[in-house]
Amino acid sequence: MAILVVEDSEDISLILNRFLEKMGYKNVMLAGSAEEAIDIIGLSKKGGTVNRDIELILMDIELPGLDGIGACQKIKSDQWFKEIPIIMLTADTSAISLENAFKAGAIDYITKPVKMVELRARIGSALSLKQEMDRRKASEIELEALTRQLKEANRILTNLSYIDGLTGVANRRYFDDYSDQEWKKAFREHSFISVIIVDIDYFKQFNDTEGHPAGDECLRRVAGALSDALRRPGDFIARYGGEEFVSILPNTTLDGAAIIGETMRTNICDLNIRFAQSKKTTVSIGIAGAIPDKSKTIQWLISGADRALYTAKKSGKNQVKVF
Amino acid sequence: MAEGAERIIVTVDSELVDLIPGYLINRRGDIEKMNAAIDSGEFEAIRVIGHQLKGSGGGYGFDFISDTGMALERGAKENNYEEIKKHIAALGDYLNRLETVYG
Repeated sequence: MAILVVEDSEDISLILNRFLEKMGYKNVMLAGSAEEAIDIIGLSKKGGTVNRDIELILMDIELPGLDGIGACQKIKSDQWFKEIPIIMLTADTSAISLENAFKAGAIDYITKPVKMVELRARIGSALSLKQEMDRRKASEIELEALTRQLKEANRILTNLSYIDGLTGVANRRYFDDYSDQEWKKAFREHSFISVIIVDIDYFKQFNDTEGHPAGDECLRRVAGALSDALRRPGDFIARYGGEEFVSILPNTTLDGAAIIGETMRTNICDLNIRFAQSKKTTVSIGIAGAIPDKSKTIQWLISGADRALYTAKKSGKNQVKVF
Repeated sequence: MAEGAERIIVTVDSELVDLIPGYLINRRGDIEKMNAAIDSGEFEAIRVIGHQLKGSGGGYGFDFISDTGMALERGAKENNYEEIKKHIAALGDYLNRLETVYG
């Protein structure tokens, strides 16, 4: 920590230096003019590095060349030094002189000749105030950082609460929230919206013969292959429960949804996941689509897809049916 | 010191013991500068010296020097030759009679 004394009288500089030493301030810098002070501070060159050791400036008001008021204004224009207290030294205590000093950014003034008891009190007060401001600023910064961390944690938690832990795709909760939003949007825009429900065929048998760890791995691979069938950024697959998956497709007609459904079915076949010695894992798919109106709900659409899925199952499985 | 003149004893902070001789020598220098300045009518130079005396004297424990500095600054602002001469002489007399003790 350093104190910068800006004083053109060598006799006054010497005694201030001695007083400050006696008060325990070991690092005292002396400048005989405002220009020298600005140089020591590091403000004489544009873009230069400022001296951050300086925590307090004692500045004579009456200086040759640039006076103390002008120097104070210049120093206070720097972002770092805006917070550094400047105490003016003056033998002129006229109201105008002091008003100008305070306007320029000085925090206090000491009348000359300077007495040590007054110097100690004024410096102590200025540094205490500075330390309190620094503490508050540090607390604010810490609080801002904590708020950011909390927001990020909340964002991660929200994401986690929307993800199916086993397969890594969206979960039922996310599908319920998102499908409702998309249904309302389609209603407003009077656009077509489709739903695809996918169910793995003979999955109970798969688990019975291959075991649950293999069943879990099958679910993960199926989820991945279903996701691969979706090309648009907003499209997604969600685990609907058990071995069922669901996808909502905004701005997609039944024909378009049927193409995607068929791609999903083919993708699963191509995985060539075998169980019960030779059986290949397949999926049955039900699709429904509509332009929303007041007589329909998203649940109605999902029920339609579910009925189409039932038809696909009844018709021999491994096929796509449109409601 | 002039023979028979009464001494002026001023007690100053012992922590300043090494600074005092130099400070007092500088004041004799100020007297010379002010005498030269007043002869050539340079009142601004006297004002600056007076201002600095006003600001420094009391800090070292010499209140008389501060008071004299104030009077010299005022005299210089008013271009008051007689007043300035009087206070330069008073400062010289003070320095001649001054005896500093440290406490």
